[in-house]
Amino acid sequence: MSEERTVRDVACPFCGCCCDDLEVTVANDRIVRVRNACALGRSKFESALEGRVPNPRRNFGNAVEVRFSEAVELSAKILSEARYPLLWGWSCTTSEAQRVGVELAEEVGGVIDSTTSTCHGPGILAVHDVGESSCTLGEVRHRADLVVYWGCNPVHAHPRHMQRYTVLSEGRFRKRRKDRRMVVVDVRRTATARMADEFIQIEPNGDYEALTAIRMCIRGEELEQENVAGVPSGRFEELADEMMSCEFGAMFFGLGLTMSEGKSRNVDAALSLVRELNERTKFVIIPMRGHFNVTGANEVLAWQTGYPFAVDFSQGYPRYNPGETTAVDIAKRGDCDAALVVASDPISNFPIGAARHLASIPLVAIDPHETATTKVANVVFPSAIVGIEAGGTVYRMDGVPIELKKVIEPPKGSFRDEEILSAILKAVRALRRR
Amino acid sequence: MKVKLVTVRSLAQGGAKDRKFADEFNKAATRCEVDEEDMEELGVKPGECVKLTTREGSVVLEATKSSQSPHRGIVFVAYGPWINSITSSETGGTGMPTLKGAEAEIEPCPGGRVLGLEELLDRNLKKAGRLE
Ligand code: SF4
Repeated sequence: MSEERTVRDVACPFCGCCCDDLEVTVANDRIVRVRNACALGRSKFESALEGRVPNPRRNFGNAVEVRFSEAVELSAKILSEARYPLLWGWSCTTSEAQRVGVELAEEVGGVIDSTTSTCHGPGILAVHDVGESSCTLGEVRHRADLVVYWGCNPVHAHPRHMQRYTVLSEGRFRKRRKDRRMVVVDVRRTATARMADEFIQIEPNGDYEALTAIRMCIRGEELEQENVAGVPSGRFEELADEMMSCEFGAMFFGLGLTMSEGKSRNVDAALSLVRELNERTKFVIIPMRGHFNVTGANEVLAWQTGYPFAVDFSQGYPRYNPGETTAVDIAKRGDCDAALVVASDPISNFPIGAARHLASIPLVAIDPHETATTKVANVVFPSAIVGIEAGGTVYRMDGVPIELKKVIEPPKGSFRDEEILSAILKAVRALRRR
Repeated sequence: MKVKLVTVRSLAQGGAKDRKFADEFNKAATRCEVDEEDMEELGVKPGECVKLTTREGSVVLEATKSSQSPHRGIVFVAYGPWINSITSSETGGTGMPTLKGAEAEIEPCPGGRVLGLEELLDRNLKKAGRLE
């Protein structure tokens, strides 16, 4: 039974590029080879079996392995007894599981928020205000002759982005690297910056100023200062000219905009710039979404509740007020009195104040791997790795849905997120009826 | 020395992010990339410990010479629990903490030691009383 089989057109469950051209070779239900993936994607497949959560367990003082059904009962009890539970994570799971998550949040009167609020959430706030001129990555590939990466480093975070969708891809109308210009704006000379035709190194927290300077140039206004954001103003005048004279421009922005001072206002300035550029030429803007299905979390929440993240059901109807109903704020204020974490590690990823509160309340974690969060959780469920041991739908960074495949069986005792969440939901409903 | 602290994704950190307790993740997330000239000014050599301090507290990291210099006055650390143990939970009404461009103080830390993840969690969360 050691025959090898190769699964083709596998989509990669790592970053928001969702590359769907991987070839995974399997023998004896183990992954032996992964083709076409970048280092990030490959390491996810190849190290799938390392550091796994072995069995469901409970931990109230000392950790004990329990049966799946007992873990479900305990989780249901924790969530239904809580006054204001937080349901967090969601960007590394399928949209099918996200849908069950929304139902569960409504049932327990809690808040459902995804890692969106600590990545591109501020960008979404800006989209509410300004709107966005967008398109699919396929269109960028075929048409864009100017690509601007602002505050992002795809060589490290989205390694195949350039190869599949932008300057290194072969499009219908732009065939070679020299058919496109690439500009990078960042606070340091990143590996991505080194590949650019032009690199503008701005000061940290200088994005808003820099974007505003370009907008002024486009309106024909003069920049009076010699330097803007630590850069000679002339550079922005040139960039503005370049942007106006391209045929199809695409700006990709990363957490450099959303995590720096100004946050949503930085993205606001970028979206406005692109809107104004459309009076002169064709220009689009797309966020470099990080986790492979963080976009799906926004899509599912938006179509189910009307809001893309940070949705609060405590009043019995969906409420959305980022800054108040976002996870870090809720945890920092000490408001949530229980939490469910799906495929995320907030104990590692949240600032200390928020992490400390999460660690102090009853916590249920669903994750394939041991993390800081599973270490402190009261109930832990091992889950199948989405995109490797479980299939389902995810949304690429440009909003295009992609089908993930199951290439190997999950370890015994690890279930799909959707199954685990449905079991908890059922148990919560049973408790309520009692 | 006053610096701006920028937290980032790196290939090494990203590749190990599902293996939080592995050495690779520890290595990737406990390095502080410092500009070469700043390092000289601090009197710190690559591989030596530095202490980063914000209003939230301090953390000891390993200084490395930045491969992306010059960026005087800015240090880079990969996302992870080490750097988050000194980041503020203030979001300014956006839901997003300032994970890039926050103010910090960097100083040499001779005799310092980078904590392992278990030790770090133990130190940070002890008050919460969850870890035996
Ligand atoms: S670029 Fe992203 S989606 Fe594509 S193979 Fe690499 S990690 Fe996977």
